[in-house]
Amino acid sequence: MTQKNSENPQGKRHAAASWMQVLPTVSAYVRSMILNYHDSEDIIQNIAVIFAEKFSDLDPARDPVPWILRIARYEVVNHFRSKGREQRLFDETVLERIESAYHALHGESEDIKNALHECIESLNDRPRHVLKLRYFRVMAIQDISRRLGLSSNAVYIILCRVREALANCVQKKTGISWKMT
Amino acid sequence: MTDPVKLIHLYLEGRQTAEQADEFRTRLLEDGDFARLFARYGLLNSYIRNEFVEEDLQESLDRFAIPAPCPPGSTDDGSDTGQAVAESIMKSDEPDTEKLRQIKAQADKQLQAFLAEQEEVNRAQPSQAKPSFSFHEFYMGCAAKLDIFLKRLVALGLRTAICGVFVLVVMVGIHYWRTHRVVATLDDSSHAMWRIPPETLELRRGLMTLDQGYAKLSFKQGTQVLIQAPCTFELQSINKMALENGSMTANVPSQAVGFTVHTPWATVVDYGTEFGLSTGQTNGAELHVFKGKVGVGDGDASHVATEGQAALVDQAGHIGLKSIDDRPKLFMRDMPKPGSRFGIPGKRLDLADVVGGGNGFGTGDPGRALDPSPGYVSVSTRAAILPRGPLNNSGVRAGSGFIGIEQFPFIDGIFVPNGNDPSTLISSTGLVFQNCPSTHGTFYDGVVCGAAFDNQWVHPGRLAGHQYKTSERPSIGACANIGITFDLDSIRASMSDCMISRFKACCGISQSLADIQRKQDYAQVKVSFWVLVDGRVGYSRELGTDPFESDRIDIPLNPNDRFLTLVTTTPQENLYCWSMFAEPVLELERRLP
Repeated sequence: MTQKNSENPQGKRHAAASWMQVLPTVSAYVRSMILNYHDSEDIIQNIAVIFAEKFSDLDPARDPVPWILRIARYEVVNHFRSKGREQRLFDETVLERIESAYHALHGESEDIKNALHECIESLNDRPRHVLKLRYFRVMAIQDISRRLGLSSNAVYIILCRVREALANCVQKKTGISWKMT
Repeated sequence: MTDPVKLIHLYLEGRQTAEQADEFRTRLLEDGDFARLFARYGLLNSYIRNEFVEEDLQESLDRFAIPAPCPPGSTDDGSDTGQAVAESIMKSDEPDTEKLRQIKAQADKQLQAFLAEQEEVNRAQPSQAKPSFSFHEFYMGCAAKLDIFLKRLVALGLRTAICGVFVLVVMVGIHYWRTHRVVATLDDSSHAMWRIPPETLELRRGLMTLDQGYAKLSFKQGTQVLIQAPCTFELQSINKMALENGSMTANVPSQAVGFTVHTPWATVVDYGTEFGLSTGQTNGAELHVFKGKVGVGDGDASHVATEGQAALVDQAGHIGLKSIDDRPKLFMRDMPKPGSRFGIPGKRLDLADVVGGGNGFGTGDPGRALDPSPGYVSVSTRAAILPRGPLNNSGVRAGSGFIGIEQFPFIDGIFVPNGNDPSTLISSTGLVFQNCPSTHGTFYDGVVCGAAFDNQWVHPGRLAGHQYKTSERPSIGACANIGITFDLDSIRASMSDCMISRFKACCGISQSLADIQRKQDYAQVKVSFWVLVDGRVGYSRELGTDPFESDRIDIPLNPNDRFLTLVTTTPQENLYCWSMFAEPVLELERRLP
């Protein structure tokens, strides 16, 4: 009897390596649809479990990205259903479009990561602090505004501008323009 | 159609309206480029989060890092030595399995030592005889303790309740005092239109938006602030405010040293001085110090700007210092007298004032002129340009190609139009005036703030019976052949939340010509007036002097239009081509949030 891919140590290592390869794209895909931090992390964990269980069934010659993104899409749809509401923005057709976009950009993912690391390093104290409160402390804009003594609108503008500055910096470093044709 | 990046930002922060959500969904479905842009921002967003998680993880690892091994000769008891042993094992060249075995042995040794130590401690404690148990004594003891406990509980509860009510009353009082005390007064205003007009001249803490005009406030601690629309700001205390967007100047007396202005990008703290501050939508914040010293920045990254210096804070929070001479007229320092200025912040921007080096609201210098002669300083005065040579037989000068005017950020450049020279550019980005008519390629006195013409004496420009020579009735002198290009994007960047909706002006040849010349000398003069938007002709008309003709220009402008170009041309020798643009303005509209 042949042993499954993920059951022998080498198969497990291969599965782990593949998961690390697809994780950034899957995480970004899920987080862009599920804006609640805890919900999105739960879903990414569920996808990791499914990946580990089903990886052995996957043809090794096949690109795992579209496969795992499809699984992610099902999980996102299930999440919307479990919350007792039909997500108005993202029905399955829209999710498919976004899924294709993420698949197409999978090759850029590593470059964006490396460039972003340098761009964040170059940020000054205040914008960096606001980003940290929003992305790491997962604070709501209102809470950040209370902490910094600014209006919510000012905090929103700061977040938009810093994201814009980072996007411009990443484009400059990677040499890939994000402008729409 | 909403800007795609803005639509994505609104989505990411859960701020889309129902209409924006519909547009967002439709574009995701129908526009592959938009879906890719969304995915790129999704990746960016996700990586930003990962960056901070990794940074935190690294900090945690650093906190728990193994300290450096003990120096030789120290005792071999204690955990530090254990760690040193572990390090020496890890550094050795032995195979991994052997290292693992050694570490395990070391750990076992430490565990055995710990157990032995505990046993020793237990043995050292004297054994106590167990008392005999009495139910009655136990019951009485419990009852007495319960009684004491209940009495203490009641007393404590009562004290807590009294203290709580007292603290509550004090806190409500403090809160009421903080929110209702007067922090500033509204001293004066000009053309002011408020989003929500203040009910009294006494101003309390809160957010205020001035959509149009000027307002002058006096803080209770003494600082006087001139606000220029469009501006959103928050009064925070008797010596502190936040400038969300817009422009202001502050005059801080000695008793108000420490006056503080928070902006989204940096905090400005005054050390007794006069300064101007603006924060725009795209360019961070800009501080000009007119007198004294001002601190700008955050914590470690703060700088002190001194008199004559400008501090620029960019989107990433970086601060750069330079001289305010680069943009000396950016801020209005005094409240203008009613009706003394044509430009009104938030309503209309005076392009003649921009030619004079101003901010479009009356800070420019009348008589300032821009010279397209090759080899001369471009920004000058009309009086200085006229003696410059070389002149041809008609008393005019040969022009050059496009000359950028870097000193004035709102002006892209000037040029002498000539259709015979197909390479004549009209912008720094390489735009060309496609249908430019043929001219002699010469000019007289450049582009002038305040149309004035002379024979032996200077005569102010006059169109349709009205003189245009003051800041209330401004004009641009543009004796053919001449062209000037304004940079609308730079103007927009200086006015947060404002849109440029139209360009308006009156054009023609000055009637003052008739005051000094015989009709037969000028009756044949004709000048064509052109207005180009990003190189496309938006207006053109030939106007003559027999009779004197003038015309009104009114063309709409879109948010994406970058360059506005005014041109005058004549096919003749440009003698007596006293052409001018009267009351040239950009109409402004408040952009709704």
